[in-house]
Amino acid sequence: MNATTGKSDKRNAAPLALEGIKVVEWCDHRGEFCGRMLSSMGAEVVKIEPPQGHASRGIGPFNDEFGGADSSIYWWSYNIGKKSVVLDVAQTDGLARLRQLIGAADILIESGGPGGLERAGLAWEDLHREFPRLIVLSVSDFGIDGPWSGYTGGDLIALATGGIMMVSGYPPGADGRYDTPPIAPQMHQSAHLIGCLGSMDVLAALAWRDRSGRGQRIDLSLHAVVNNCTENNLAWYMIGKRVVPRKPQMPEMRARDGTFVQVLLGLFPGEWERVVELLDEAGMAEDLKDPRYSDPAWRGLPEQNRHVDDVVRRFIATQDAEALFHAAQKKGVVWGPIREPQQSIDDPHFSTRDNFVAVRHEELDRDVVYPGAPWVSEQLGWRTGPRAPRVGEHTDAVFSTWVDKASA
Amino acid sequence: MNRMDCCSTESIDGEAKLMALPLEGVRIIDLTWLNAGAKGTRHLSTYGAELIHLEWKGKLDVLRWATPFHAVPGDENNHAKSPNRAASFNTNHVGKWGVSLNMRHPKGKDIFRRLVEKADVVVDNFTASTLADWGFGWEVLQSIKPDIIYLQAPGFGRIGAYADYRSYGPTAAAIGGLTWQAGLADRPPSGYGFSYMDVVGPYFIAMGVMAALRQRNRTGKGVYVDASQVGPSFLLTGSSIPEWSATGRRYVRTGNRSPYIKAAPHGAYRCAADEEKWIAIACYDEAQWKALVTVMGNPAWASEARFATLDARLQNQDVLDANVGAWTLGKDRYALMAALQQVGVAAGVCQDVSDRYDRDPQLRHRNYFVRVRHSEVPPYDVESLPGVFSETPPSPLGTTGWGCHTYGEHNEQVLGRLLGLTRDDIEALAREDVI
Repeated sequence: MNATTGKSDKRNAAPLALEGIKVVEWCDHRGEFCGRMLSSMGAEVVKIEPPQGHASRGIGPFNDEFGGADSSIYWWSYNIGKKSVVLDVAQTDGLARLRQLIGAADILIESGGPGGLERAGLAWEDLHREFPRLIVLSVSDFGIDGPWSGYTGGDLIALATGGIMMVSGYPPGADGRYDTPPIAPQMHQSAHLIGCLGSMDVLAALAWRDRSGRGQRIDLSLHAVVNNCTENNLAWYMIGKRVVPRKPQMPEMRARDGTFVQVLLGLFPGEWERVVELLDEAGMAEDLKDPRYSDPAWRGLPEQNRHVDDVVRRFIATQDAEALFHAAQKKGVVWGPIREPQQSIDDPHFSTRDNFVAVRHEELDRDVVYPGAPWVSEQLGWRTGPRAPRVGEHTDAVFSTWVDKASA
Repeated sequence: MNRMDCCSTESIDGEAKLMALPLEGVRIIDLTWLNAGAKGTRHLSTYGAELIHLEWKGKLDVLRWATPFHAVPGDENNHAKSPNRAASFNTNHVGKWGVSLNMRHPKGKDIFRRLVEKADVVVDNFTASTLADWGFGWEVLQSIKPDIIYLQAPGFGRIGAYADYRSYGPTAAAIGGLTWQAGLADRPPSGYGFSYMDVVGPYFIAMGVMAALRQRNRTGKGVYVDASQVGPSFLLTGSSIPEWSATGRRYVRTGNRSPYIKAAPHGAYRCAADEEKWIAIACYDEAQWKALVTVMGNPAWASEARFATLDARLQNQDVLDANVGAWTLGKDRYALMAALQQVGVAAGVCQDVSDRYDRDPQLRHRNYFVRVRHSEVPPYDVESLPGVFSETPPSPLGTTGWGCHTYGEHNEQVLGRLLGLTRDDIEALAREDVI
C-alpha cells in the first residue's frame, strides 16, 4: 500500500492539540493505550522501564524476524510514538530520578493500585503539594477505594463484571439452552476503553488546569469503564426492567465468496422497503413484498423473523460480499462485509482518511502499517509514530531536556 | 490567549454556577442523534459544557420512539402518543437544553445563525452533506464565527469514496474488523452483543471536541474536524494490523482464551445448570494457579503433569476448562468470586444488567448511578462517567440540573436569554412552524 495516498500537505502539517504536554507513563499494560492516544494527539510520552525492559515486551504476538526485547508486536502497537527512559525505581536514586521527571511533567499515568503510590514513596497528597499543576491518572482493576478495590482483575474479569460478556456470544439452541459460554471480545478491549475515557478525562483535567492552575487525580478502573460501555443496556433495565439476553452481533449470513455479512433489517422508517427492493432486483424477495411485512412489529415476531432471516440468507448466498456492500449502500441499505482488520488497508476510502499509516522500522529495513487517525482535520492533527522505543533509547535525551535544561 | 476571553460567559439560566467543572463556559450547539452522536455530547455536558440540543418534529431521532419506555403511573399505555418517554433518548440527552428548530425555514436558519454567533462548538452526526445542504457548511459557520469549532461525525466521514454511505454501530464493527475478532475459533465470529461503536465512537467525538477546544485556545482560530463512526474502530483491533503487515499472519479467534498475556485457566465457567450464571476465572501465574487449586480442595486431577506448569496448562486447556467448569457448577457466583479473590485469584461474576445495578457494591461506592428528574416521567437513574476526579467530579446533570428535556422544553429559556426573544416572539415562531 501507499500509506501517504490522499494526504494533503496541510493535513501533514496539522498542529497537534497536546504539543508541549509532557506525560510520564509509569504503568503496566493496562494504561498503555491511553499513553498511545495522548502521544497521537501530540503529547511527549515518556515510558518508564526497568533495566531489564518493561513487562509488556513479553506480550505476544512476536515478530519472528527480529528477536529479543523489541520483537513484541504488542509492544510496537501500544507504545508507538513514545520515548523510553530506564529507571530502577526500587533503588533510591532511581526513585529520585522518577520524581524529577514527574516534577517536570504535566501528566502522570500510574497503575500501582490502592496504596501503590504511597508504597512507592510518591503519595498523591505529597505530589499534589509539591507539584500542584500535576494531573495524575490512576489506572486500576476496580478503583483505588471501595469494597472491591483490593480485588485483582485484568481484561477478562473487567469484561465479565462490566457486563459485556453476559450480552455477547452465540444464540441458544432450539431448547433455549446455551451450549456456549458468554464471550469476551478479544484484543484488550478494557485497556482500549480505559484509554479512551482516560484521554477524555485528561483533556478535561487539562481544561480545568488552564483555568484554575490546579492539577488533580483521576481514579479510573477497568471495571467502571467496561460498565460504561454496554450501549443502553443499563438504561433499559433501570427504566424498562429489560434484561438483554446474550446474542451474537448478527444472524449468521454468508456470501457466495465465504465472507460473513452484517445485515440490518430496518431501523429507520423506509429502510425495510429498500431491503425488499434490493432483494427483488435479484428476483429473490420471495413473499417479503407482502405488505404485512412492512409492519416492524409483525415482522419481528419469532416465526416471521426467522423467515425474513432465511430469505435474506438465501439472497446473500448468491452475492459477493464486497460487491453487495456497495450495491446495498448505494440503495441506502446499511449493510457491510465482516472484514478482517487488514482487509481495509488497501481500501481507497480509508487511505484517503489516513486510517492506516506506514511507520519506518529501520531495524527491519522496512515500513510496518499501523492503524492511524480517527479523524481528518487541517487544524487538529493525529500522529502515528515513530516506532516504539528500544529499552532506554531516550534516557539521556529526556533527562537533558526535561531536567537539566529546565534547571539550567 | 486567556481562555475566558474566548469563551461564552453568559449562561442560559443567568445564574452564577456553584459548580466548578472543566468545560464550564463552553457552549455547544448539539445536532446529534442516535446513540452514535448523542452519547458523545452528553459526555461533554457531564464535564460541564452547556449543550443546546436542537431537534425538529419533522424528523425526530428514532430513539424518541424506541422501546423500552418509562412507566408513567396512571397513564401506562400512552407512550405511543408522546415522544418524551423513551428510555434510550431520555438517557442520551441528560443535562442538555432542548430547543425545537426548523432548519429548513428561513427564520429557523436565522435563529441558528444567531446561536452559532454565541457558541463555541457545533457538533452533528447526520449524513455528511446535511448541514451544508441546510446552508451551514464549515466555510459558512466560520464566516459567522471565525473561531467556531465544527465536528461532524457521519458514518464513514465526509471526505472519501464512501461519504454517502451510512453506518450503524454493527456496520462499523463489521468493517473495522472488531466483529471478526470476537468469538470461538471453530465457529463464525460472534461479534459483540451490542453496538460497541455506538459507545466508542462517541468517546472519540468527546475527545475530538476537547482537543479542538484546546487547539482553538492556543491558536485563536476555528477548527473543523471530519470524524466518523467507522474510523476509530481500526484503533481497537490491537496488534492485528502491524502483525499482518510485518509477518503476513492473520488474526485467529481464540474464544475466551488469552494467547498474548498468557493465562490458564482463562475463561467463563458455569455456576448453575439451568440458569445463565457464570463466573470468569483467570490464572496468570503459578501463585494464582496454586491458590485456585487450594480453593478447589486440591483435587487429584490438578496435580497431573499436564497441568503442572503454565505452558502445560496452555497446551491442555480443553480438559482444564472442563475440570474447572465441573467444579464451579452449583456454586454461588458471588461467594466464589469472594473466596477466589481472598487468595489473589482473578475472578469476577459475569454480571448481567440486574447484577450491575442491583448487586455490584463497587459501582454503588463510586456513585455511578445518579437519579434525575424529568417533566413527564417519574425520576429515573442514569449512568455517570466512570472517572472519579479529586477536584472536579463530573456533573451527570450537565448545566441544566435536570434529566432529559421534553421536546422543545427549553425554547423560552434558551431563545429568550441568549437571543432576547420575547414570549410573544416565541409564540409567533411556533405558529409559523419555525420552532
